[in-house]
Amino acid sequence: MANKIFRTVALLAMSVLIVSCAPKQPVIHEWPVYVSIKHTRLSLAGIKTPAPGGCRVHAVDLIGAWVAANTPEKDPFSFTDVDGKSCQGTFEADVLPLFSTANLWYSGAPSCRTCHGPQVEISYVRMDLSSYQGILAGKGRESASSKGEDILGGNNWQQADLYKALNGRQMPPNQPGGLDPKGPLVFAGSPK
Amino acid sequence: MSDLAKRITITLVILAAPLVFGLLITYQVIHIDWISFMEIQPSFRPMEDPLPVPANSVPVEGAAFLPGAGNPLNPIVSDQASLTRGGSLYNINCSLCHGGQGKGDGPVAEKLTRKPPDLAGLNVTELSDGEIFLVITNGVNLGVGFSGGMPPLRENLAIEDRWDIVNYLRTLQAK
Repeated sequence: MANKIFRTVALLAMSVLIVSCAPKQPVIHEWPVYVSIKHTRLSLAGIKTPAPGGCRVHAVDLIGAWVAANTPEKDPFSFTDVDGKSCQGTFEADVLPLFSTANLWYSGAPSCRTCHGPQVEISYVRMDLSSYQGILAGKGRESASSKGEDILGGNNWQQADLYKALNGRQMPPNQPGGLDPKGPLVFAGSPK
Repeated sequence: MSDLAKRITITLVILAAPLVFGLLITYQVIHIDWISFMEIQPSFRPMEDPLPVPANSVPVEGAAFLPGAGNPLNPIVSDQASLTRGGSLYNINCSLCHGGQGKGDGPVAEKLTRKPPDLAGLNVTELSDGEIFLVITNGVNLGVGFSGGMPPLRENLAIEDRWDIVNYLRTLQAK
């Protein structure tokens, strides 16, 4: 009997010792995600929801369609969207926002007009991408009233400096890897 | 040796075995190559870029903007409290290059090859709040390193601080 009690106590003592010596699991603190959501100051008011049946097109293709059509600021031009739908848009409503919207070409990207603003004397490469007239006037301009070197390749989009900078992913600068050279997919225009 | 003494000895040996094993590991007689030194943990040294944040992580303050969703909208009302905060943060973080009134004439500006722009000029007044916010966040970096550009200030300024500066900037432009 004493033998059995002794054996049991010894076994229990050993178990306690082994359990207390065993490496402890690290305590994993669950990140309180609700704190982030609760305290976020993100405004969602301006997020546009696409119209049902709307046209989706890559930004570079959309600019290319406008350049090839060579239409004035408010006149409609035709383009084919990624689903093969025939669509039409205008420079003012669909193309200009591609130059004046930040956080579009990639997450956190500056807008084109951030560096290429209307004061051409202090803008990078003396170019204004903030307006229709500015884009047509080109780069390397002497002053706000002068014309510079054409960036639209004489309406041959594949030859245009603008195409080479965008498609070559030089602009907008500091792009992360793995982006589509055709630019982001945007909602633009309306089906014909 | 009596039977009881033998048992006690065996039990003591069994009890002492984990302790001895622990001591052998502690004094590295048995060497297990686990990471226990601070210098080989993931860390960055002075003047190194901080490590990228883990994928899908959310900042404590919440996201600054929705990735790829266009110009962020200003969520901070331009009230007196915001302008006061923005003014003091501007004087600390921006005025050295951009000058007290935003004219691009701060004490550091004359050393720079590319002069900081006049913040009340057309190139900046035309920009939306969200575009200015992203310039403060990510900087304007067109050279090697930050030469000739503006460094990103996201490590220096909290999200709300950056919006306060944007609000303050608008008052400088209105002067």
